[in-house]
Amino acid sequence: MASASNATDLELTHTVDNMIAVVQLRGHLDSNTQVAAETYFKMVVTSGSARVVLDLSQVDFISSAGLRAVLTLLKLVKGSHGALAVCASQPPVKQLFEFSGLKTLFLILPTVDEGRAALVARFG
Amino acid sequence: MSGESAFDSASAFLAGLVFFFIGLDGIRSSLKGLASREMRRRAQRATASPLRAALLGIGLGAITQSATAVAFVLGGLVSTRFLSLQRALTVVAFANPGTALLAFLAAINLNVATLWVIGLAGLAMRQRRLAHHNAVFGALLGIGFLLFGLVELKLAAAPLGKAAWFEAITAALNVSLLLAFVVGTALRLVIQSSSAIAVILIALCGKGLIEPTQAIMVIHGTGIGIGLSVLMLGQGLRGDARRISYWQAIINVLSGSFMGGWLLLAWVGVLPSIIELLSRTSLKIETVLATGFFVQMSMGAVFNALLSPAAPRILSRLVPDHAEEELAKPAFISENASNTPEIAVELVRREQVRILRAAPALLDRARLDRTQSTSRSNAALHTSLVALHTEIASFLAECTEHAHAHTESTLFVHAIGREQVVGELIDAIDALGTEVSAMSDGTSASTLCGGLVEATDAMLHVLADALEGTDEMDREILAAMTSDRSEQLESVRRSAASTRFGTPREQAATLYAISLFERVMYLARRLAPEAAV
Repeated sequence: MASASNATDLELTHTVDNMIAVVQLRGHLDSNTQVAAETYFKMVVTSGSARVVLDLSQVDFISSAGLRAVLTLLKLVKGSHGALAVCASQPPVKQLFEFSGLKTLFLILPTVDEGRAALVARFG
Repeated sequence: MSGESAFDSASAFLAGLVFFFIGLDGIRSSLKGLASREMRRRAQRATASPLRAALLGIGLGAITQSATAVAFVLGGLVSTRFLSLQRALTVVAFANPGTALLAFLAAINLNVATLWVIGLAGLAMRQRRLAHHNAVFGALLGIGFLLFGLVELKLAAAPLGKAAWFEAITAALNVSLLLAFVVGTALRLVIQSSSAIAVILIALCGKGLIEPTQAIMVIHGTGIGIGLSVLMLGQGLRGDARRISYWQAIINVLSGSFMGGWLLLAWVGVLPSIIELLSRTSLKIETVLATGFFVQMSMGAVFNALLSPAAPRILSRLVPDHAEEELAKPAFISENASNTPEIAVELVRREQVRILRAAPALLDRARLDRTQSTSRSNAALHTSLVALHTEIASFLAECTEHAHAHTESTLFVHAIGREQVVGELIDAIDALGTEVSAMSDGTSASTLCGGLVEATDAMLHVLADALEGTDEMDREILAAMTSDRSEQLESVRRSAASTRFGTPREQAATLYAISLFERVMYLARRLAPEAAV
């Protein structure tokens, strides 16, 4: 299954395979695109995919607003007894996650395949 | 007036203006340090009734010889919430007739009194034993500078009376009443004292240099001049302080226009003029003019009484509240709330959430996310946050005084400790924003520290969510975001200290920013709901 959404500076698509949704973002995740991203995340989780891999390989910038959008997604998946893996972050984005101390709350992995494998391993 | 004396007058005028503004700033900043609830109650008692407020206004007007100065001093008192706006308007309105009393009396040597105020307040501020009263002496010093500035302005204008062109104007005044009115307006803009103008005119009239009707018309014109002068000097004011200056302008323009209109009607024979009415008594012409001046100034108080019910509506339309001013005012805590400890602490928590919701904007100037940047004044926001924090701290101190049981005292002591952390957090956030915003764009330092700023911003939002709501997930996220990461940050420090990172100045700034980030994280951890009783 695939779906897509366009905010001003952010393109969102997702595919679902084996009950794991891979959400790919392309562009900036900041205060301009936060609401669009949160709406899209909500749509993904409420449509039945509570195991989410967030592919950030095409995201060159995340601000605190973007970080809060990711936290919203985390709350949604946790609320649905799922899990979140954030994958393929570029160095500045990865650094922001490190500064924020969020690695204990969700998986931060180098590639999407590793993220998918980690969720498969956890939920079988 | 010779070229040399004109230059001297211009120099004195400029210096007077600078002293005036330094005094104004000094009063405002010192009063902020004094803004305890106890001091506020004393100021409120001094103006408890309209009569007391009126008497205080007359007294202040008579002493300072300038209702404009009174308006600016009261602006500081109202903005620090010593006085209600309504009471301050009454004091200012009655300061106007207060200034007119000096037209009857021989001029008090305000210059000498001003120098004593400056000297004694300045010396007192240097005494370590009196250090805890520095805010009071600072305010007195500010008043001294403000009055000294006005004295200098008047001295600069004094030679005008002897100038040939001034005599030419007075001759022209005897021809046209309207010209006399306009000249009064202009003179008041130059000579920052209506009573000084009145005294000069009374002297000129006494010597037969100007007709009494023309002299009183010049005095009436000063009403417009006061209004324009207050508006010009109050350009930098905001909020209630600006509202008071507007009110002073409105009532003086109305009283000047009323008296001027009356004289014009008398001129065409519709009704007797005030000069004619007063001349029917056995008063000397000098006293007649002084009384006419007093009546005009008293009209300000009359217009104040007539318009005061509508004053808040008029003034809030003319000077709407800025977001920062709204923020500085407590939205939940009140005098009555201090009686029930649980309610008091809950209301304080809500005020703290307001601070935490607003504080991230202190980082806007340093954000990587430029779309978040606002045009709001960082200094104004910081001042408002500190003002609200001070209010909360004073409220809690007052609650502690009222607490009877040990458990109540413990509750309040703990709340005071948390509020202290809030105050430290405001300063740490502001310092981080200042440090990072000073970095050049596009450098390794600005990229790294921009990340710290974004992470701090997210942390503060989560902290506010965790304090405001009951979502366990918010608390879990906050715990993760504020967890001890000294090892990780030590590694970032080592990276920033390497020679490839940037210039020594950029390295030093980055290391300081990392320390500030750690401090914000530590303070946020202390404010987490789990840390509360």
